[in-house]
Amino acid sequence: MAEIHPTHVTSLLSPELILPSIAARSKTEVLATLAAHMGTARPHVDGRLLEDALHERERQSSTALENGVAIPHVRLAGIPGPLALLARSVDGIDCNAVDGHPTRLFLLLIAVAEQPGSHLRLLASAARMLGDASCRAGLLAAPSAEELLAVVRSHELRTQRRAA
Amino acid sequence: MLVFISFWRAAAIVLCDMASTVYYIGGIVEQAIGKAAPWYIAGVMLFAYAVRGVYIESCAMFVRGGVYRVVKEAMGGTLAKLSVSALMFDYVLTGPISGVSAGQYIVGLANELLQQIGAQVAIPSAAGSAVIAVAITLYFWRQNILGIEESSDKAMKIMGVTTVMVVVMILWCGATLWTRGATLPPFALHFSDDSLGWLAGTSWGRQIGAIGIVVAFGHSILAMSGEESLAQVNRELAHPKVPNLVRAGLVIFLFTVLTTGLFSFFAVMIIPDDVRMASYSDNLVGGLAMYMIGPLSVRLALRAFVVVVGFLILAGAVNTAIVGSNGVLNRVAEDGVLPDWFRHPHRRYGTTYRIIDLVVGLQIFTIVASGGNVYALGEAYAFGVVWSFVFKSLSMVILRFKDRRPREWRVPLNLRIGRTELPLGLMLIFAILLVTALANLVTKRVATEWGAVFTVAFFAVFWLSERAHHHHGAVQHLEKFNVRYTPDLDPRAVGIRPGCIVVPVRDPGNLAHLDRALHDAEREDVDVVVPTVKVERDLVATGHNPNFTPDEQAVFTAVVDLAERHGKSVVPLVLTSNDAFFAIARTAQELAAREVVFGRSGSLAPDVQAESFAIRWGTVEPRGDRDMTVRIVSAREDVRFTL
Repeated sequence: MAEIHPTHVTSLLSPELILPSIAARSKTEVLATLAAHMGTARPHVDGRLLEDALHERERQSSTALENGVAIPHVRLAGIPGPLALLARSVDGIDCNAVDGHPTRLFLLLIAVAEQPGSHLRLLASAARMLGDASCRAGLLAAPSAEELLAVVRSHELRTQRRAA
Repeated sequence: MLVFISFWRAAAIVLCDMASTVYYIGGIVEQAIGKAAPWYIAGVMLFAYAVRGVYIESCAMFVRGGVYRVVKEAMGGTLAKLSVSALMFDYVLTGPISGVSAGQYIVGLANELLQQIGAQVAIPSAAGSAVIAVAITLYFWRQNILGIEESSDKAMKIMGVTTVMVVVMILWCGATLWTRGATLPPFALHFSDDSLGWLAGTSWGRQIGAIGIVVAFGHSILAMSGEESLAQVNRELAHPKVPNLVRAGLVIFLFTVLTTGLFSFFAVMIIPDDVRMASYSDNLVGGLAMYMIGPLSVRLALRAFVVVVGFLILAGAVNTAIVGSNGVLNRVAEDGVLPDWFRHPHRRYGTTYRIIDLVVGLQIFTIVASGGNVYALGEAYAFGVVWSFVFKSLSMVILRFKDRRPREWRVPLNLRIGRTELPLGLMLIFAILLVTALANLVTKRVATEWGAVFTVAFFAVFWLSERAHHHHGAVQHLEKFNVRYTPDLDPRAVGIRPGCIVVPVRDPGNLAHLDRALHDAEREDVDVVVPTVKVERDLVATGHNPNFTPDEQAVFTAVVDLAERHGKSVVPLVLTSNDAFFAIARTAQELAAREVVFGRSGSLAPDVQAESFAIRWGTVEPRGDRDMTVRIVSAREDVRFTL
């Protein structure tokens, strides 16, 4: 099996960091859900602090993109490396996206505050993945966290091969 | 695309005006002051180098450092309008005198050939010359409507063939003088009654040596007409501006000394006295070719070559006059001194065709009114030249005291006494010009009468126009742009090479990042693309908003000013999108840019700006293997990120 580049999303995800179906009904609830789950899965992350940071970032500009995806992202101090969490809303949530469509896929990215700029490639990589229509379709159709992870992994390997 | 030219092209444009005087200056000055003419012409050519220094210093202070801007800064709008009115008299006459002189050379050669074959007919030289002058003017009217880039190409080609002619003539004249022996022209002045103007009834000019020298110098001063063109082409000059301007000035100096200066001596030393003024006063260089050593057929061939080159360079001077007038009138129109209507760009070529039409109309009127008389045109010509120089040099002296910011280049000879610095070099240049101008005022009747009438008429137009403008409120200088719509961005269509730099702009008051990007780009051959994004908040951006808004005009006016200051080409773009970062990322991707330089936002932190772009970059760049640098630049910081 080909090795995944460390700045790719797959290297940061694992089944416990994937939520196939969240019950949140608003953007605020989504951010709270993501922050709380990250705090549980990675205890060194303060869930409350993360939630505040996410709200502050959203206040500056929305991270909801078109085609039903959003990439909420923040930089946190004191964490050893970047973190990611993938969540899916079956019904979709109004996140004030540019195209007005409800958002169904959320990819939370947390970067190390002490390394400014280090996460930009990761953000671009995440946007590239979620911008791919077939990848989005696969993510929306995947029945489990493991299957969702497989879709992400498969897409990133394809992209890596194309770039090579 | 906003493009800039090399110092060679700039020198070529100016030389088409300055060096072309070699074809008529000798005849005009000798008719006025006698055989001593070459000494005074040479003196003027050397002095022209000092005057060029005044222009270089002014252009080091202001990108548009011509007479109008400098006089306005130093002495206010009224004197600025007066000086630019005098300058316009110079420019309007440059075209006709050059065109008519070109006609004289062609008609002279044609008549010589008719005589050689025994034909009993001769072309009337004045009328024939006037017709040819009108034809040349109309040709360059068309070229200037097409744009300056095309006309600088022409200037380069003209100066190339002129250089060949100059080398051939210098070598041939040298061989002639070597064979026949050489006697330098006398110093003694022999003024014609005409040349003393209102002093003709007195004995001052003839008997008081110093006054005679000044009067003679005044008759020769038109030899340095064309200096103002240097300030006009400075706007188009590529980076580094001031060193390139100094280089252009040196090229112009060497070329004019070797042509205008040297040829005047050759003419007096080689053409016999009895025929020089009688037969060749209006085509002295053609006459020079006829009196060299060698068989008649070869000399006729040389004369034909001289005439062809003369036709080209004199026609080039007509072009430079139009370019220069266009530049000057654009500048005053920007200030509201001429109605904005004149600056409306040509729908297809983007040139200020109404100003060009006005200038060419005045030039054709002058040609017809002069009836093809070179001497009359030459007499009138010097008025505008010398008075615009007087105003300019005085203003530069005043600015040394009024505006003490450091200059990248200064006229030498500055004496520091305590805290005060006396610009002796500038003051000396001003004094020489003022004395010469005053001498001309009383000795060159045609120049004074016609120059005064023309200057007052132009001044009245400027004054009335400015008053009308003020009634309509404050004047804000906005460049005129031709806007072309395209659904797709094709790099080849807009002439952008891969590896370009994209510098988004929005606020004309926040262009520190563009300033930095242009400064960096000066050192390398890279295209700079400057987009502004028209954000449409509809669900889907249609891209069909045809309005080029005043806000966009204002931001691109500021962009043009900056690009001119750096002498660096930029490609302005207006993008329509519902997301500014997406539009910029997509533009950078389609143009294969290597760097995007953002100005620091007032509402977003630099890292948020970079993150927003990174996300959009990922959306538009499918392979993910292309390097992209993102910079967030303000006046105080330059933050770089690599994607």
